[in-house]
Amino acid sequence: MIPLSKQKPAALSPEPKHAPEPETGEKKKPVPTIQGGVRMVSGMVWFSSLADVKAYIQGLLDMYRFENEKATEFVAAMYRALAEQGSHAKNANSWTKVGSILVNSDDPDRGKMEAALQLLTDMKPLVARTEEALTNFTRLEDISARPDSAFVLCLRYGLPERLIVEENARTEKFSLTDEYVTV
Amino acid sequence: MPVPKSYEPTAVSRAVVEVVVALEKVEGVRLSDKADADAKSEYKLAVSMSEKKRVPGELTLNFTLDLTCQPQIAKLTIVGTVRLGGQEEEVAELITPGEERTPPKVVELIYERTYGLLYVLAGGLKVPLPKPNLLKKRNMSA
Repeated sequence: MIPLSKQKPAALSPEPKHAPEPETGEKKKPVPTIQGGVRMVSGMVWFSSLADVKAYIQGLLDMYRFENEKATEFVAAMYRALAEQGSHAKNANSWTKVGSILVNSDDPDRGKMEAALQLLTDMKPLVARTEEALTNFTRLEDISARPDSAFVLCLRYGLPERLIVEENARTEKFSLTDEYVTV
Repeated sequence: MPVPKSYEPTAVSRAVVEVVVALEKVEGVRLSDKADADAKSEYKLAVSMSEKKRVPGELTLNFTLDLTCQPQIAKLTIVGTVRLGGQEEEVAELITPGEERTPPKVVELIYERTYGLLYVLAGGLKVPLPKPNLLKKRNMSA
């Protein structure tokens, strides 16, 4: 894994975009920030073979594992940075609810860490359930599907939930044989 | 209205159609000692394409381009694959033949991207250079 300080700025910026600190006393050490993350999508994806479905789920799992690892490293780096600064919680509850959104302007570093911990909590079951789907994939392969069947994988919040088997649905394979002239 | 095959989440599809051409074989043959780079000639292009792999948001095709100089003084061959990435409709648009004598867009794109190589190859063989711009289907009835 790439150390936090060496990751791409777009994904992980070591310099937080805070207002400049006043030039008094000891300089505050930079605290990393995390950007991006996984878009947990819902939708249906069409495949012409079960092998392709499996490869797609494997791709999802790899992405979730990577994001999970990234979030874990971020939280660890936040802990280290806050410990080095000797920062203490200013307030047990520094969040204010504005409509449906919680706002924290009192302690942004701790606020970010709390949010990242929540993301991590969300990510773990996502990894576990996608792993489970992949582990049990051999049972899906036992489904007696005709050779011309197509498969529609239904994703709900990033999780593969349903598989629809459509018989006589596979499209013709593309082929072209033709002659042209250069002009 | 046809029933759509699926409803793909936006995150799995790309914002721009991606076309990646990878070559596997390039061959140039000078068929006649009398071949002259300045000779008046035209090139006939035989295209053969077949589906190699299709996954959501991506279609990979094998292709062979056979350029034969008329009269037959040279033959240039390019074999490779082209990967088309994008939404299903966008990929379908690339492989659909155009109106009248226009080839599918994917053929034009492959020719466009390999033209530089064909030009150098023909120049090295001292045979007439293939024309770069348009690629029109031969009108057999003409």
